[in-house]
Amino acid sequence: MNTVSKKTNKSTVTDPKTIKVRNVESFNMDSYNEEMEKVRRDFIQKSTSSKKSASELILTS
Amino acid sequence: MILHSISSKKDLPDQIIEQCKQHFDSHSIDKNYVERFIKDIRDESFFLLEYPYVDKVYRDSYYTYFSSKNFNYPRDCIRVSIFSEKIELLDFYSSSKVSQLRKTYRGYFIVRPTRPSIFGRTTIDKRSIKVNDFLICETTFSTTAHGLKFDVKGFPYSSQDSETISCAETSLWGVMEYFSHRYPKYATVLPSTIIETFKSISFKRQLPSSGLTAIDLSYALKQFGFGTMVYARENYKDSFEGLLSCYVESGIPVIAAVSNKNNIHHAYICCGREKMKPEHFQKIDKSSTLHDFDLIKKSFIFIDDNHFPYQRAYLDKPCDYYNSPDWKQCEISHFIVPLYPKIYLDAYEAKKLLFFMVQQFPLKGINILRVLLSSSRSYKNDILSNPVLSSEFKEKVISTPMPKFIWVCELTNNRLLKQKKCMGSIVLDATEPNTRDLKPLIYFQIEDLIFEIEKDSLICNRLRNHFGEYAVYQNNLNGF
Repeated sequence: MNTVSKKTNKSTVTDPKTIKVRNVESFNMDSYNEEMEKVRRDFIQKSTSSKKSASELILTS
Repeated sequence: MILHSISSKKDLPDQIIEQCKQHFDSHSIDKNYVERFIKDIRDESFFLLEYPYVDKVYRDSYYTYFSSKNFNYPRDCIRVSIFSEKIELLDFYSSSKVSQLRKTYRGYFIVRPTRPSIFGRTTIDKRSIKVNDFLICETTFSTTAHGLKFDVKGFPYSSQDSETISCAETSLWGVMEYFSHRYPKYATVLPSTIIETFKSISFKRQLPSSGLTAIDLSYALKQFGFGTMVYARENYKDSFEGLLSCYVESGIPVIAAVSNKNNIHHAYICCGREKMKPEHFQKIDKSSTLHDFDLIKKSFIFIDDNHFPYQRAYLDKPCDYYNSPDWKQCEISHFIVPLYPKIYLDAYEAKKLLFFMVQQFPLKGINILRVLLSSSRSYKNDILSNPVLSSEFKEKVISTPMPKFIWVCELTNNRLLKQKKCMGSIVLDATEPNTRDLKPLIYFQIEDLIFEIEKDSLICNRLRNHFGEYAVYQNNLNGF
């Protein structure tokens, strides 16, 4: 499996054989996407509720 | 005729009181109040008092409101300029002493005829404060004293006059005064501008001011050109203080709303934090658990219109510098962030993404993440100026297209932070709220490895040279 970008390899990156693909493979994109989907829903809910409570507090002191 | 006088710190309260009697016909200025206001200024400072002075903020309030009252309110103010050492009026006339005067200039404050809150527009260099081991969002203000031009760096302050500006309007003014002097994109606002902003949506009279809600503050900042975000403690719970810290670490002053159960509801600005010392990192356990830099206990710096500028408090006791037990019980319930309008990925989502991502990699020796926003031009400039980073890495970063603002995450640990260093960094696109398939990732550098997204997949390249540890980013608050 060639995981090296040819584009970025032009001037800066050397010998693709030395690249450890182990790190890349250890990243589970499906579980990341699942987690971020939860974060997104949570964020929208938090953001909406924050606006509601912020409209009830008159700052005068 | 413009009147000038010079005073030591010891004589300053009497001089201010005397001038208020003479020019404002104010005979009951509380000397303790004046002494409390100036107590944090270094004792060896000297002051130049000038009257009459036309202050743009008070003059705006005067024409909008005070001039319409039955009793006479003077329209002029007294300006007090601060110098770090003894000065004489004759120094201003000697060209050989001008550069020394400029070196010792430390800012100014305005005394206005709005008893009891007489201290108006103020900009003070933190070097004039007795304890100044802190960092703030600061910008340069050009001013004059006795006809000579000066520059002062600081964060703008004013006390509330409680009639045209309450704590909420004062905080709005302070934030806008800062941004308008720092970035040409934003305009200065005056009390009448703030009143005008709410004119079409207000269902009651606007003067005298009866305060604003946190959502009003957010609305006004949006009208002034920001993409505002509001965060409530009750919704963000354990993340709340870390998010506030993250924005301050990003060099963005935030307006915090504090309240208690006894009907205190107050707004003020959080604009900085204390400098980090090795003791801050002592208590963090060195296990493999990932810690958030923003949750490391440290004091923050507040611009509070009830106190002298640059008050210091912890986020869990944000009014600890007040004498009243009622005030001491206050907690921050909300904060409002004036974000650049094209920052679409907020701190909450960016941090969740970064922590989840780092946890997926088996990285040795990293137990602290420091997350902050930066402009890509300042970040690239910082990378180019770093003596440790290799030319190859510099070339890689400089040739990578980035949006105006980026999220930067530094990977570090207790030992490295004591030396103000990190061993890797992640850069995210702040204009990309679609986090699916790591879309916001620009690059992730650790040791000699660079991870990037290409064709929706995570790929890895190896750099020729391993440059090791390097300095953390310090551009936002001008230090660490």
